[in-house]
Amino acid sequence: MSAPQASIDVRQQVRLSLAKVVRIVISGIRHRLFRSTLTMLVILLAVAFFMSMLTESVFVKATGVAVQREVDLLKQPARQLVRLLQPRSALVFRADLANADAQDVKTIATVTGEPEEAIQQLCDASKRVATYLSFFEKLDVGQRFALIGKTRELDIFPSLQATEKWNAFLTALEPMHSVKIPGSEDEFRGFLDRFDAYLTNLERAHLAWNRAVDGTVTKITALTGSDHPTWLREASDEELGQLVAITSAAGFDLDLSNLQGIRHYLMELEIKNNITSRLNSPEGRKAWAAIFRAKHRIDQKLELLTDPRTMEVLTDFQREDVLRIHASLQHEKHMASLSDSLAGKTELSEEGLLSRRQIFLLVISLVVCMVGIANAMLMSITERFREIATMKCLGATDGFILQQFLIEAGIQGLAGGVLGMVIGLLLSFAKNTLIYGSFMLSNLDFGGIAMAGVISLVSGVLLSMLASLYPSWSASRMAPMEAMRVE
Amino acid sequence: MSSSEHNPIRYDEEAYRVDKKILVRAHGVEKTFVNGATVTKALKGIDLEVFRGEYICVMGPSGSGKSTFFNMVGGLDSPTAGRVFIDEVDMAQLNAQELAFLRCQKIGYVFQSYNLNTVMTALENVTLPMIFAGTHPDEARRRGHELLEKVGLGERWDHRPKEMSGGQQQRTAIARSLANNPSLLLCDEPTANLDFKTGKEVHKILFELNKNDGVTVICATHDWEMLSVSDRMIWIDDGRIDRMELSKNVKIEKASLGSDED
Repeated sequence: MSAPQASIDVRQQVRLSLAKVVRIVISGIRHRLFRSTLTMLVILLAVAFFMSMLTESVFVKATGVAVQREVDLLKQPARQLVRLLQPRSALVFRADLANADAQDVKTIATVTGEPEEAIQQLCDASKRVATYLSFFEKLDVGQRFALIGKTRELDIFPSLQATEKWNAFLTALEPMHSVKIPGSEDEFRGFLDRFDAYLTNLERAHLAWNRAVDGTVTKITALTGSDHPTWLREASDEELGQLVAITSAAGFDLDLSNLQGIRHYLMELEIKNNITSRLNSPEGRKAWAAIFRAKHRIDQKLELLTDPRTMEVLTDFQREDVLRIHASLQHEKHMASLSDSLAGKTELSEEGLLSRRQIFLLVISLVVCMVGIANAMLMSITERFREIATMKCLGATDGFILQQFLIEAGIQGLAGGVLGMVIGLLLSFAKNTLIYGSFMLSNLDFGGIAMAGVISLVSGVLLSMLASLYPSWSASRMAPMEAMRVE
Repeated sequence: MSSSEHNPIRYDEEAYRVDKKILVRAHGVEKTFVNGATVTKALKGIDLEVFRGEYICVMGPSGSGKSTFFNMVGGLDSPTAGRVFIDEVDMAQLNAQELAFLRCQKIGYVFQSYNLNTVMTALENVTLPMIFAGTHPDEARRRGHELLEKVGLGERWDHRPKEMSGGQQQRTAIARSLANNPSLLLCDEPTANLDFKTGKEVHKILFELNKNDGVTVICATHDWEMLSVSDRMIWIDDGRIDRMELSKNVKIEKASLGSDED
């Protein structure tokens, strides 16, 4: 006598609003603060680790870019001087073309008298040459020999132009699965076909460049009676103005301030050399030893330039000059050490935000953290089996229990994530400030830091919820009759 | 019927069921637990009708299948064979969500160890089932106070379980079980963890609920005090109903054992 199921209608059942579940969860967390704090701590550690790695990468990258800029700036006068007064070798000229930016293209075009377009093409081709050359250089000896025989450098390309050589190259390449030509075979073939034209153009431009430099040097010699760059040191502003006229006529994009910079650089260099030779002279050594009672090496002597007693040795120098030279030497040294310590790192992180080794470490730590969270959640659920079962007796659905635990995990993830983010940021900030000092502080990449924060926070929350997925699911499947069990 | 060889009913069944409406009907309920190679028959065919407004005591030694039977009636577990109807609803036909809804609306549970949520106040505990039933918070609070008043804890609504005695906790649990006006109150040894005096208070509350409000009560107990409040007594043994008697008859038996003069 099975009766109609009149009195049960699930449509009457209410869905609990998220706000209500959150409120229940928060009151639960408040009263189980100790365990929640422990779970949070696990997340905190993972997120802090993550955050410190990400922000370190951001800090290092920003600092690296700034240091490079600074180093370039320091070298600029010397480079301009060389460019102005010394002919380039073919190799250096090709490298210049491969690294040229838009401004350089313009300069090279005017100096050589070639159309800008042609120079641009030359630059692109030079970049290709550099790419292909580095490809061949990276091969091991056996592979190299099989592919191109004993040919090296630019000779590789003409040797591959002959059809039978090209076919032999392709046949040899066939079984080397790990070896891939940059771009495609067709591109490479096309490049080879155009290579002779490239060489001709390159040579023409190179010659034109060196002719322009020679012309400038001749004019400057006529102006000053000396082709040695040191005359620039004593040049007046007027003479510098004339020099601007000469160089710009040849196509170099120098202005008065550039030349004044070069003059300043040469003046400083002169003082530096004088100080060094003065300290290294026999009288200098004797005087130095008498004052400091020690045999210092010359670079250490330069560090002692700020010592007031140094002036007793360097009697014929202005104290301000010595101090200034000391400061600039210090700065150069600092930059050199910074760029040394950054060199490996920037190279590593060129592909993405993190290197492969860092990602490996990170994944391991995240997995460990996930296991920890899952374990803590499972414990917490085992501990609360009676509460869960009672809730189910009182009418809680599986969905509610699942929601409850996932939200709990989410809240813990959020709290741990925020704290971990802050702590990770502070740690990596402190560490990198110690290493890179004020130079890092003035070159902070706030966008990158904010992004690192968002990434690590989101991953903290997701991590916690992901790790709690199984424990929450098993809690939601708990039989309500567990509530009846008596220990 | 499994009772063909042994009829446990010791009273005039026809006379007793006159004018009564059936609330719970168990029909040939069997339950077998399989644990690896071990097969345990916890229930071996139980037939029972519980009427609306009735107060039933279920007795039986541990391992008798009493708890298993309780779980079947409370919609907490499903039988291997046979059927259980509540309000003519076949519980075997319900899915998990519908069962949750049924537990929420139709059945109130009172546990031996109270099972109050320790982080919530008495009022929050009492209103928890109302959250699942979708009662408006204001209404829930009003009704929560009313229920706590009824079990004599009106003043202690904001105390947490830790701050209450065992008897007070169990009274809170009773108030909670009444939250959604259930048709059936399932009490699993509600006084086992209480001393004699507080146990008596709990009996009194259950008795009043039954007599004044017409709540149907099924109560598992070892406590002979329960006799004085119940209508019918059921003994379960070895997965079967061993004996079923009207409580007033049992009382006479007991009295006659105590003193011959009465």
